Amino acid sequence: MVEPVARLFLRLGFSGLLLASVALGTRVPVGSQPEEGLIRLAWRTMGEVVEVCRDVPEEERLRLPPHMRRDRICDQTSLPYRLRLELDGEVALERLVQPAGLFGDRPLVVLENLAAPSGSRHLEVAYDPAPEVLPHDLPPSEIEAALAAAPRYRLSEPVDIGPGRILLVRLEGGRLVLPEAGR
Amino acid sequence: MASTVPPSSPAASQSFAGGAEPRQRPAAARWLEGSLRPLDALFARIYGSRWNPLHQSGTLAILLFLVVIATGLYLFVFYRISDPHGSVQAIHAQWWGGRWIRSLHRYAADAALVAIVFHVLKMLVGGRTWGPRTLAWVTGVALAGVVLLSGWTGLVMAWDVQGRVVAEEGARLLDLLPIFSEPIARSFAYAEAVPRSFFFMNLFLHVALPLGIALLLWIHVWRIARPKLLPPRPIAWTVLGLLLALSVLWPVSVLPQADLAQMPARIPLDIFYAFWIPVAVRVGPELHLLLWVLAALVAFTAPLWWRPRRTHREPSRVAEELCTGCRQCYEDCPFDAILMLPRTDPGARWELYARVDPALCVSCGICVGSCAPMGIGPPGRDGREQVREARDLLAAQPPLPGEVIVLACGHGPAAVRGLESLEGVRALATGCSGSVHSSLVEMLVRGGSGGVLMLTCPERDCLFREGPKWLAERLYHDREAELQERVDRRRVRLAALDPTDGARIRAAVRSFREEIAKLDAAEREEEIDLDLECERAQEVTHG
Repeated sequence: MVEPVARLFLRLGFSGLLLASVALGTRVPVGSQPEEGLIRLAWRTMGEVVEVCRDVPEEERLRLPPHMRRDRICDQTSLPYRLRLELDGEVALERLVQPAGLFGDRPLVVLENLAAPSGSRHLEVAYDPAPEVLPHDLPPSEIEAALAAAPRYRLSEPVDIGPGRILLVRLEGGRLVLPEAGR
Repeated sequence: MASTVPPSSPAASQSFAGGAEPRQRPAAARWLEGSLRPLDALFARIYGSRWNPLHQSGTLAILLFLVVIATGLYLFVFYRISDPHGSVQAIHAQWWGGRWIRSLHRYAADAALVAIVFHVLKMLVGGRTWGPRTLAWVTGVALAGVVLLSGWTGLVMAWDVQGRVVAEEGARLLDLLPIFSEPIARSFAYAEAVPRSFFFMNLFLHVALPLGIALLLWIHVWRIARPKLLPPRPIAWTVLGLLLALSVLWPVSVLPQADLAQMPARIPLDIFYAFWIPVAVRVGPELHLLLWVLAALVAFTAPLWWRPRRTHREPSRVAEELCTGCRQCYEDCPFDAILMLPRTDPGARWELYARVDPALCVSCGICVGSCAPMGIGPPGRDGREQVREARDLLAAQPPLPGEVIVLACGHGPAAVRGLESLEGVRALATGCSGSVHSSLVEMLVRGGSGGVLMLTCPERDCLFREGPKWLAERLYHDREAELQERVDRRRVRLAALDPTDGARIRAAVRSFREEIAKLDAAEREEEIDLDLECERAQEVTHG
């Protein structure tokens, strides 16, 4: 009688231990306190549209299915932008932001995360149209019109980057801002 | 986890009655089994064959899934997408034990994943990945994937420091796929950017994915007969009781709310569902995605490469002229691979005959043991072949007086070392114990052996699911093809033991040997007394 009881307690105890190890596995500390901060650029803009229209020749019209025959076809694309970030006068990030979507007609989205050493820094962000990367066959007049209408964004501010803090730069009211918490 | 007979084992010196059946698994499976043997042995030692949870991995996963569903329904009532973290805190503050229910939900989900991992290992060790088992394997992999997804959405729901990391890393992965025109990671750029629809979608997924789990589970067990979905009650109640106790004594805590203005620091991670986070953070999204794609490819294609190099699996065939249409093989087949069809030949004596579907037959041979006329079985392993082998064996090596013949399942106990060296024992490795025909046992008993001991795998750990069960029914409970009454039952024994428990197996053999020796001695005493009485009677007569 004693042996089966002892065995029962052994099994229960071992089973409890197994489940306790499962419980332990739900709370395994991972990671470390970061020493650097992070500069995050996050915004979304509608691009200035560059439209190119052309008349469709009769032969080309007839090749199309009846429901797709049009006299005039207009192709649209958005003006790309160039993003540039300088930290204490040094270029930390520079890249082209293309309109999203398969046909380049979706908004331009900026989402950048840049590790930055802690401390007081001077931050400059420039977000300007980049017509030079558009296809050369686009009419210059259309490009100039889009360029004239396209807004430009600038930010130049002293910032305090704390360890583990995320310094957010976003678009608000048509301009780049640092929300209060980021200062 | 079932084993096969290593070539150099003393217990494997003689294959018999299907013991040389085609390999079911690749060489790597034996290596995996060897690696897991210490764990197997530990569990066998503690739990024995009957209560070993390693034999219940699939049913335990389902039981735990049910616990997750039940507790999840409760949590669903109190969860608010408008304030995810706040609602979790409110659940924890419930005086009637909301935190215990949440803890039970979490622990059951984690334990289910652990059970799934053991289940996968068991399938790999047994080579149950290819051929007729391909559908079960593929759906199993899909199930594991959906369970992981469900777990991730669950972690995100709490919108704490852990959920935030899971959401962000998941979004970085998804942004690599060419399906979103804008990066969804932008939703986590700052607190105001997180749309309420995100929590709605997350909750929807978390609730809907279990429906997918249920559907996949149905397909997963579709092709097997009489699937066992839940563990035996003692195991089920023990697991439930222990989980509940754990939830009460050591509940999960509410982690700090996600703060998108802070970088993730040192956070307590659920390593079962979030094991990939440290890898994702270290290697970046591109390599991370590649790792997942590779893992999925490897897992889903296992039926093509986790298999024996040469597969000569021959499905069972029916000798229609012998088939009486009794349906026993149809009822016994664990994989529903046998159909009963109406006979169309004129003047047929029986209405039905059996036909094996070769696409579903795994060549286990369990149908062999079900057929009284011995009209079915894999080629070379049917009942008639077994009886012929037994006849040849007895002719070539007549049993010594009192010698016990041990028929050990080649997928399990036959691998135990030292059986051959036991005195008065002849150990033979057979195919699945369920494939042993009762006529073979009868022939061995009546052919002069002291007794026949059938060593089978534990009922819940049979490679072919129902071998030990049907064998027991046929030997002791008159299931076709039953052991005939004329066979002395005292000389037939069945022992279902874990193959890693060599000590218990050897003890069972020794014990049976001793019983047979006593039986033989008792019978000899009866014979001697008779002679004495006859002598005395003669003296009296001739007095």
